[in-house]
Amino acid sequence: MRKLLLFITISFLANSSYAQYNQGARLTGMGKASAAVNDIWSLNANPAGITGQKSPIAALNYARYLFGEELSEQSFAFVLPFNNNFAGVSVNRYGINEFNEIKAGFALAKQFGEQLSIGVKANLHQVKITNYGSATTFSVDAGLNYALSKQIGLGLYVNNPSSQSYKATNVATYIPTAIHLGATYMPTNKLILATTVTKDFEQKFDVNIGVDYKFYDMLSLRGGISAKPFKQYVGVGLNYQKLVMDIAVESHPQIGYTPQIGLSYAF
Amino acid sequence: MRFKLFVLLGFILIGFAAKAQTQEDQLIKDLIESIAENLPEDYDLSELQDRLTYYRKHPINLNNTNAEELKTLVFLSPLQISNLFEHIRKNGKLIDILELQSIPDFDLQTIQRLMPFVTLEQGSVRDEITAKNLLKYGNNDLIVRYGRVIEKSRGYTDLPGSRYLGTPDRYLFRYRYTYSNRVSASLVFEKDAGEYFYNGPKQRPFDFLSGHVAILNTGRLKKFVIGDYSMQFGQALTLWSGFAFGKSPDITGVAKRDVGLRPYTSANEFAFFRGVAATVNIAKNIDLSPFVSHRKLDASISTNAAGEQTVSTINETGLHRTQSEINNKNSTEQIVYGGVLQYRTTALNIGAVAYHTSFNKTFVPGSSLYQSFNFAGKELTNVGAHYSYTYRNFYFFGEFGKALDAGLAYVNGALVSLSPTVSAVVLHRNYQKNYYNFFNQATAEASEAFNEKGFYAGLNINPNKKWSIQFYGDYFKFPWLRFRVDAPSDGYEFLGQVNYTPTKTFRVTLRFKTEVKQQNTALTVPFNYLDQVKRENYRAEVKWALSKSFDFQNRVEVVQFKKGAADAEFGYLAYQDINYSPLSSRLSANLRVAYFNTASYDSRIYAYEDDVLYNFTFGLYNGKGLRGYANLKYRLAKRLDVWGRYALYNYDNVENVGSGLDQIDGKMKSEMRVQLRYQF
Repeated sequence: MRKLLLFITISFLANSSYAQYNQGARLTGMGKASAAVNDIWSLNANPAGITGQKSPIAALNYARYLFGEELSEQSFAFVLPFNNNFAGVSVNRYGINEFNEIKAGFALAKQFGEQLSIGVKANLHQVKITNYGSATTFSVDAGLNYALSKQIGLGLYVNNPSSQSYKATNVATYIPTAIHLGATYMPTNKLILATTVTKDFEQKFDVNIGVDYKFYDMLSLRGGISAKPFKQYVGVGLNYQKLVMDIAVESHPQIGYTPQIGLSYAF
Repeated sequence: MRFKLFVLLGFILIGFAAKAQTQEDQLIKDLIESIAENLPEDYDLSELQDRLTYYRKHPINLNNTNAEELKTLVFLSPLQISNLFEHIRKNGKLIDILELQSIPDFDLQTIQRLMPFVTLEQGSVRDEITAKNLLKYGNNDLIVRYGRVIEKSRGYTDLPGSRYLGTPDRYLFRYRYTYSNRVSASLVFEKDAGEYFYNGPKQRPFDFLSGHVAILNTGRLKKFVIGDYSMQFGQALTLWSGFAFGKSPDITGVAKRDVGLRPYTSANEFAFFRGVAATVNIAKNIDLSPFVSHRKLDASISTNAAGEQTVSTINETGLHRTQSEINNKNSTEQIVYGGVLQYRTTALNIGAVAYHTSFNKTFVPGSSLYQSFNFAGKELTNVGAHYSYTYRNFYFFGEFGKALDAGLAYVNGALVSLSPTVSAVVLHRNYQKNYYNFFNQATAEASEAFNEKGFYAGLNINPNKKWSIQFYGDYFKFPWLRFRVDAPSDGYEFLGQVNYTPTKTFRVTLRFKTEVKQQNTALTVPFNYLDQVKRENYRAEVKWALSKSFDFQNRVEVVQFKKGAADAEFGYLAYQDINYSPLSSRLSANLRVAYFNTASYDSRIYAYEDDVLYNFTFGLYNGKGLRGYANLKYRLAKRLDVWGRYALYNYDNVENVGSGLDQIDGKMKSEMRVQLRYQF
């Protein structure tokens, strides 16, 4: 019975508010206002955002959904810069043993001068239900970042513009088609304010606002909100030399708190 | 670089000062208006205006002041105040007022706002209290106001049952005396429309009488007040009477500016203490404020099974027009006594509050389920502790309040200057459903701070002189039922505002606000379930000057209201304001013409309206029709000003206006007001 309930909840989430894949603890702490922010986890948001990396970087992220004991999301990402090009790989797994979704992708991004960068990503999606079977499909994400000035950056990306879906008719899970437009404002090198407006073709407009504030060299404080549904986010980041640890908590009016933790290492 | 800035600022300020001499009131009016635009409808700003008017004449000496005094200038954030003191501590006394520019967080707008109210010079040393000084150097300010609704409403006709026993005239008389920063006294009386003017039942001789005598800054005795006073401490959770800022586009408003004990000079008939209070410096950095208050309050009295007289709610309106309102008048006595201990240094403030409230009638919770945790009994003891602490660019603040044998409440927050152009506020609150307190104005979604949990976050961004952007979001939960909400509920509020000011005489403001809450369904069902109620406001406003004497303001506001599955309904308001205030004329005037069209009371719109000095109005635009008003101010003599106001509603296609005893036949409701101020 509990499994069934959990299953229903997961499917519900997968179909609505969790249609986006995890963007890592840093971007989540910033309210997922990620369209114009540079991060390794831009792999799961605006692929052009990986052009901020100076050296090869690998990251792990783990999110725990507190209403179900087993429900979690694990993610892995790797970005490799070469010349002005960037290659990235990400893998996400979301669900429980009996039901899970996997999204794996490969991204390529390129910087054109100081201001413009463009990225594309190809994704493989798989949904798997024990004793029931699995379904697979592909999708594409594409995005660009533009630095308007030293302080203001703009970002735009689309998920799945060709509206790919699972071919199997008995799989209700859909791959969202959405367009995201965002901006960042960086008045000092310690502070990033970010906002993103999202239009998912199946849903209402969503607005995200977030802040990342480097309090000490080692410690960053983050916060954010999003509008539909009204969610609040807080997070901290600790960095020690090449190692970074980020923690974020997302608060949803019905689902409650979702904590997550991420580690990254820049080589 | 810095020199350049000073020169630039100097020029701005010289121009400013020249203008200021001829337009002292205009300045305060503009400031109040900009604050009022950011407030909910029910705030009384007259006390603030009073303070500002006072400081205009008696500027605060920045080299010899304290945080409490500066907090009364509400446009200063606690972080700015703290930074100022830190600057003085490090660099010594301010030598030039332009030095403010070099203090972190002091932007040009703040300095411009601050300038008229501060000085660096030691004021006249003449502050000894002697009969001669009191007479010769005291300031007297006398205000007499008369107003009435011109049409006759139903309540004034010969009704058989409940009706207004007095006349429809409104009177206010206010006299205030101040001498340096040493002595203050006031006398206020007020008659509301429908009340008896003179010697009516339960009045001697006027319906509302208030006054005080205060002696300030006498050695260790910092403040001493006999008569009516207000107490504002900490984050307004334990002890706060009267007005407090809360959630507003001025996002720092949730960090309360507590000003401690103050004499009371407003005409609000509810929000004050009556008795004796003092603030005494008992040791270095430590102040003690003991107080005693005895008041009569209005409440409807019932008798319970044991034959005891009982009360369930206190009536705060101060209206005594009908027989039943007069019967309720002064029916309940309240005695409050207690004290506040404060320890204050530049960075750290800690306070402890304890007081006891008792009534001569027994409180019983109302019979509805949502009221079951309301206060019961006759006696209540409240204790609380508050703090604020500045660390680098962080200002932490908070308060814990406890009603003995009842609930607990706490609120904690931080104000952070993230960069010179960005500041942020966060605030967490948790008020238990049985947190009883009769002097609680803490930041909350509901009108009173109990039965609520919430988290508020706001951002203020001023990337340059032209742009300013504010956001806040607040999520709140009501763990117990509320009026018209038959289950625990939650909701959220979001506000975003952008100001664009390309030149000194042109400003555009865009504002969006959305609020989602839950409320009982409008359907008739055996058990009420909750419907989502969504209210969204969109506002666009332009303010521009045609010449030195004329400026204009236009606003369009749209409200969308949607409850449950019902269709959304809309309300619209558009108005044109014209303001005429020539530099060296005795006459100034302004007027508004507004068109409004709202589907129902749910989609009503409020807007701040200009009025005679010290009177604050938020117009209620509900229904369909036109609204207009005109204000006139004329300087009769050097110290004698007169104001006049005429305002009217002209509703479209209705047979009567208002409801109940206030109902007026026809489609018009008009009001006039005249006020005289004499300063001597």
